[in-house]
Amino acid sequence: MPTHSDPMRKGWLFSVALFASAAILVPTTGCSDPAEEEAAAEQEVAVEREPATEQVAVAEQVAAAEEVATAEQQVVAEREPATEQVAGAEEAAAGKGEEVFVPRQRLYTVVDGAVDKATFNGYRRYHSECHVCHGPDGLGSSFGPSLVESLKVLSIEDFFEVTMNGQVRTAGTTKYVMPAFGTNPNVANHLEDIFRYLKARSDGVLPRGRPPKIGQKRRD
Amino acid sequence: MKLPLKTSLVAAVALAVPSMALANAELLKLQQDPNQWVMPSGNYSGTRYSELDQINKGNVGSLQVAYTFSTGVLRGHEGGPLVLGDVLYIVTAIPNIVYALDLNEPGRIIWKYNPVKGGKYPGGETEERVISVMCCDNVNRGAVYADGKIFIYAADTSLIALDAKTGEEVWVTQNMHAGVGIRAVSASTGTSAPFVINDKVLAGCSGAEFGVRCNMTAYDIKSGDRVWRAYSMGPDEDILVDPDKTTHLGKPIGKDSSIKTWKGNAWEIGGGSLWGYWAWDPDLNLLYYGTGNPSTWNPVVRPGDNRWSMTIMARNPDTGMAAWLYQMTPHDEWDFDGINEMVLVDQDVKGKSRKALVHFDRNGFGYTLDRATGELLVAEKFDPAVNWATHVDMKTGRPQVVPRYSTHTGGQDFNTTNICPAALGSKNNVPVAYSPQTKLFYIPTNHVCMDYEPFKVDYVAGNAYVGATLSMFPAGRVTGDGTTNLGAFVAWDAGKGKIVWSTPEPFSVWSGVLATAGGIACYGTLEGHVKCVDAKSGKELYKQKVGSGIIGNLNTWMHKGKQYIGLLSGVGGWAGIGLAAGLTEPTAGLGAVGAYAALENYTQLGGSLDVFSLP
Repeated sequence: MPTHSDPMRKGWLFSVALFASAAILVPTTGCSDPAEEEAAAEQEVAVEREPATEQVAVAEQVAAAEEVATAEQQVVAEREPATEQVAGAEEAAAGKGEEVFVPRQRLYTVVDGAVDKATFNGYRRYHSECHVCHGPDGLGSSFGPSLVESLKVLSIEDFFEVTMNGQVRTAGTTKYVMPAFGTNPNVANHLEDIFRYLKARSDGVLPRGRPPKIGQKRRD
Repeated sequence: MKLPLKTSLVAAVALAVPSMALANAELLKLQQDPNQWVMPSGNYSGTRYSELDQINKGNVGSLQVAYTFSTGVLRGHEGGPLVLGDVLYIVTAIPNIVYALDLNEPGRIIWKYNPVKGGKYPGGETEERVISVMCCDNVNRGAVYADGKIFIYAADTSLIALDAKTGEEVWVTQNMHAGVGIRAVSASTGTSAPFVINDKVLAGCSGAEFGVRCNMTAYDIKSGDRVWRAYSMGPDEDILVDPDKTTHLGKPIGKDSSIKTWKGNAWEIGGGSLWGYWAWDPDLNLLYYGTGNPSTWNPVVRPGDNRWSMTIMARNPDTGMAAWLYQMTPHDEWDFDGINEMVLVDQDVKGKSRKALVHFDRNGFGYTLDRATGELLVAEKFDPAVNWATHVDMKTGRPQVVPRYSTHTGGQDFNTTNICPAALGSKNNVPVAYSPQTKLFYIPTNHVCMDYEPFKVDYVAGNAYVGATLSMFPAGRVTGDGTTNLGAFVAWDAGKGKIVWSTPEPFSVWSGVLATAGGIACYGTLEGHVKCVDAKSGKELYKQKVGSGIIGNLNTWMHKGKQYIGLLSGVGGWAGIGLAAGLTEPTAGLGAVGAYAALENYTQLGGSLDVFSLP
């Protein structure tokens, strides 16, 4: 890995760590308040445009503070943990009779097949950079694994690790190479959004094809 | 850099004169011998036609598998077997292993060559790095024989000359650079077969999705020294044109014909890759090939015609100087790469016999040109679904783009819908065949349309530079004719520009076609069927399933009095990416959900040589 890329990578690992410590990622399928969605989406645009490092964390915290109330209810309603940590936390919480944890970050929003801007950005970035191996709509190719399947078990930490730093495995004389995208700004700067999109696909709440954006009238 | 190039050019021409006649004569003779198959297209004209008729339409129904050979490599296998005397040569997907197999003892390995040693290609890049910059699977389109050597162009852009008898390296040279380097040479890869003309071996270039500025480069077959290099875009001295003598539709192209059609220095990362199959007319002494898409896929950021991407080029192979050029898709907005093969045959056009060049482009038009002058004779759609342009203006040569399907007009962040064909093209790189018996071309086609949304991306050397997202679906969703097929095997009259017959296939037809004097045309399907049909009527005469889907080419040869048809199977390539999971579900009204089955339900990975003969 060339040295010039290191600052970016370090920045991202830092960001991942923050993301991981916030840790609680909750799908919010079928959210009923479009106005609030629009507000959330506005904030997500800020994330989208200034994705590098600390800004992400700040944006997350701001978003988190404002979303706590609604999201808390949704967690109870859905009981659909997005990550292993969520499951663990819930069990632990249940066992001790404590309150259900408070999520810090909305992962994606899907309303009648329409998605928030960040998830839409993830759709687009995926289909520009990732689909050439992982197939349309995350469904896999003749050689690239289906991420719709992978994300049923892959944690966000592992997803970030593999995407940023790559992965190689060998089958007979054939090498399967997941390239490292740490130096590719078209992937690295949009990794969270790509995860949002794929997680929505993996969770079975988003159908194939190009999703419309919430609150935006389709031009086409 | 310019001075040494000119110097070496002069030196090489001077040195090459004595050996030229020998190599030239040998290969010219060999390519006419139907018992052998010494270059990917079978012959310099690129017809993929064989005079052999032992297997014919009367007996092809009893064809059977003679033997198979696992390449030991998964992933997509393009190209096909070469046959020289008693030896058959194949090249696998990455790591690009070359096998020399004994025809006297089928399947016995005479020698095996792997360019990757200690995890690295000859140029020093790791196999992992090279794989990470392959746009669309790890394919390689095969080897070529000349001068006692087998030439391959490995994925890291190493051009490698092997002793045909022993498999030992005679020389290795690095053409481009698969690593992270400076603009325009980063992340270039090799997927095409080399091509030999006289004393030169030519290497192409892949990587338009990585902002590579591609070129055709000629090397001396004895020494591996570079002789000339012609970029697809850039200043006149880079693209080897004579502003006064090189023509476009009969008119001199003038000064700075390329750079003035790009914004600023965007041509430096302009793409224009060339990775198809090429042709040579020894009488006119012209080399023909097509250049690929301009990069990025986002047309908004590169206004202008983006010359000479998407162009048919005719060059003098001794000097590289262009005689004529024809740009098929100025300012590409759909990824309609112009790299598909050129076929050189005489055709009757409007009652007059013409020395023609016939080309079936990704953009869905079948072109017939005068190959001496570059005059445009015919440009017609070979898939009726094609809708992005109404027609090609025969005076200006420009496709008349329908504004509704212009992704540039739609603009960034706008999803332009229902464009036919999809970026896969109405036909991709897999080569057609031409039969002088029927005077028909046999085209492996795609019948797929798309939505296309360009958006802004950043260029960083060594990384993918795509800039659009697209979704693909069966053309029937746009034409509304109730069809669900994704491909068709099409017979075409290039003099008239008319489809003669068309046989629907459930999936894209993604294999190189073979036509023979036995009155048959044979091809493979993505599900893994080898099919032979009556070349006149298209009637299916033979069908056999092989181990994996077919994206390779069917070739034929004669050994000890017996005719064989052989191919590489092993699903993959762009077809294996786009179709593995099936395409987007159709909208309501076009049949039941699930009507479009996924390719993965029919075939899985596995590289194999499959050889057929009569009992």
